[in-house]
Amino acid sequence: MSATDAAASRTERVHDGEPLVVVDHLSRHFRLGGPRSGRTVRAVDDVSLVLNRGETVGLVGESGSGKSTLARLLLRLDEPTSGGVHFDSTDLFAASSRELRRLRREMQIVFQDPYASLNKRKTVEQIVSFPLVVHERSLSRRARSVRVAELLELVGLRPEHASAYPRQLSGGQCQRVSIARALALNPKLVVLDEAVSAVDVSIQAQILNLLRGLQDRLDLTYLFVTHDLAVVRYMADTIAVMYLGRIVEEGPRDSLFADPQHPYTHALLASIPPAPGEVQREQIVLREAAATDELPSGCRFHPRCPLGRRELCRTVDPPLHATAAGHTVACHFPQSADSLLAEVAREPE
Amino acid sequence: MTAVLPQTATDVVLEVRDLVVEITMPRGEPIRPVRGISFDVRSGRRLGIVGESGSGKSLTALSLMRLLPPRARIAGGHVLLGGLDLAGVSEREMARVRGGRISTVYQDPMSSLNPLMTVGRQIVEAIEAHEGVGRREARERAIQVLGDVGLPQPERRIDDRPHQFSGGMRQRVMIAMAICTNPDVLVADEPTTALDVTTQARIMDLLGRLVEERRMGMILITHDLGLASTFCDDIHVMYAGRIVESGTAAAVLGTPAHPYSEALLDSICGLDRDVERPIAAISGQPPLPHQLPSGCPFHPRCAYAQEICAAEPPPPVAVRDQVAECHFPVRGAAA
Repeated sequence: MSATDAAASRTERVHDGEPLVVVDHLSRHFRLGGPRSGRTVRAVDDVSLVLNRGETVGLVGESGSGKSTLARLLLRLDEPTSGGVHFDSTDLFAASSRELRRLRREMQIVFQDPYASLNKRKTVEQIVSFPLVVHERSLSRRARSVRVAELLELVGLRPEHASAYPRQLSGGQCQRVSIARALALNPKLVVLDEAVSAVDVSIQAQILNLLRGLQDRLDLTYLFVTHDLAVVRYMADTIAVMYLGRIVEEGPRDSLFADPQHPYTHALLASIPPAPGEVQREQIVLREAAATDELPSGCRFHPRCPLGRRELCRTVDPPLHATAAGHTVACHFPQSADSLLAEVAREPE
Repeated sequence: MTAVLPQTATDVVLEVRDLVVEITMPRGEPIRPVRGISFDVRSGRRLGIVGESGSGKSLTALSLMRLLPPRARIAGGHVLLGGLDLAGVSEREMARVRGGRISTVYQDPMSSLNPLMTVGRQIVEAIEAHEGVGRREARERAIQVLGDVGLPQPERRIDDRPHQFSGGMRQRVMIAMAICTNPDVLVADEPTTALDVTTQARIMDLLGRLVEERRMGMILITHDLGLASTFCDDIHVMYAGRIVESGTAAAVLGTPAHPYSEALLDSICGLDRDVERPIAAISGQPPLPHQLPSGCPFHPRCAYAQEICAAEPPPPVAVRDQVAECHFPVRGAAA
């Protein structure tokens, strides 16, 4: 498939609208300290999200936003406090262990640190074939070897890499091994948790292009978890911005990047150092919030928001509502960056 | 913007000449992750050293501070700070200079601060050790410097411990500790990598202001070309232990002359790029120090490589406003 064909198919693929994963009012709260401390952290707090087949949803947020907890819940690596997830029309948290075993084949994950997520005492062949050993016991040793060879080729590794150990490979090659392992059982969903954050610049582009190519060939659905808005823009069809456990802005990539509305999204966009030759966006200075694990009253972003001193923001939690541009935002005063900057300038100290 | 910098000798606060770092291996030959690099740091200017992991940039920073890990050593060259050659001074003398005339901001503030000591104690200790002043005056100056780095209510927060600060505030404390002795040279190795993106920009603004006000010479070690291009005056690009291109940030990142710099720039995933087109990735992997390719270390990945590139290491060549170590530098359209 040529590059232009791939590009065309990317545009077509978007928004066919058949859901694979439906996240419904999902929450995960953690209790802190002793049993009587009464303090809880709402790592994920009432999040709803749909992942359509063949689509990439980008989950963006800083540390502590709950994005990794949400990813873990989607794979049922953790149990929710309330709410649910349907995977391919099956209730993930009500599934019997037998059903779960079947579902697990269809959902895989690639982690951030390529060295830490591979067993350093196993060869690449053993690592990549392990899911087959567990889930496809009828497969002969020989058939497994053939499948591993196919997978290595798929992710751009050479056949001789099969006998190598992780320490003999570079970070980028290890990440390819992780991807091959994730694809071994032909999953429908692959969660990519900061999958390119730890690899070098020159390798990052290779891995991103590889992931896009694999999606087109294998019709994969991705949940792409990252803190990097530039990378998510390249990878995702739909983007959700998280802040303290809540989605604060969500929608199709083009709409969200053409007309972002939430002050936090503006701040994230403005804080990326522009690539050489690109224009620096005007800084939106966030207030420095005290380090605390208590959830702020009203809008949870208000202690850091440049407009957050307002009565409404301090008292009322804003729900997600539709914007003119065609996405959703949870803010009492959604607006463009220019308008926000003008308003901040007028705001009394 | 083609301002020629005033290159008077008095400007230079640190001169690095032909620096070589060697690591002894348990088996076999020692490896050389830094292979003869030279550069000047000037007061009030920001020098960026950019490169990927394994390029030698962090070992360069560590050797300037003489903080190399046990099996690594400076195997050649000079690090001239004023009249001293830091590559040769005794450890005792180095202890006086380190944290005094040359100091550093590390990547991770949480693991570089003592969690059991108040931040005030940690800064006061540095001032006492290097400035020869009494405890009371040292405390006054610590409060002053914490205010300078933007810590609100420094006279109260000085008695807090590191865990009571947010990540961004902790990095400010680290910076206060690094500048409290008015160093001539400040080395910052990925100072914002461990911070959230919304905090990064403010820490870099702070560092820029301090360099300006105090006329320090600053070295920023980073893998982030976007950050380097917005922050630095000059850029050195490192690859496989060599500085393969150097010049002003505008020259190196605007019209790169080395094929590696050019390819690196093309592979960045910027906010304004066309998302339908695949990113122009560099093929292959950066070389390991014990498996360096012959000739030019970049030739196996280079789009312009020819026979000579595999045979002979390229000499430095002046191209436009920069210098590149390449047999076939990218000259662009004939001027």
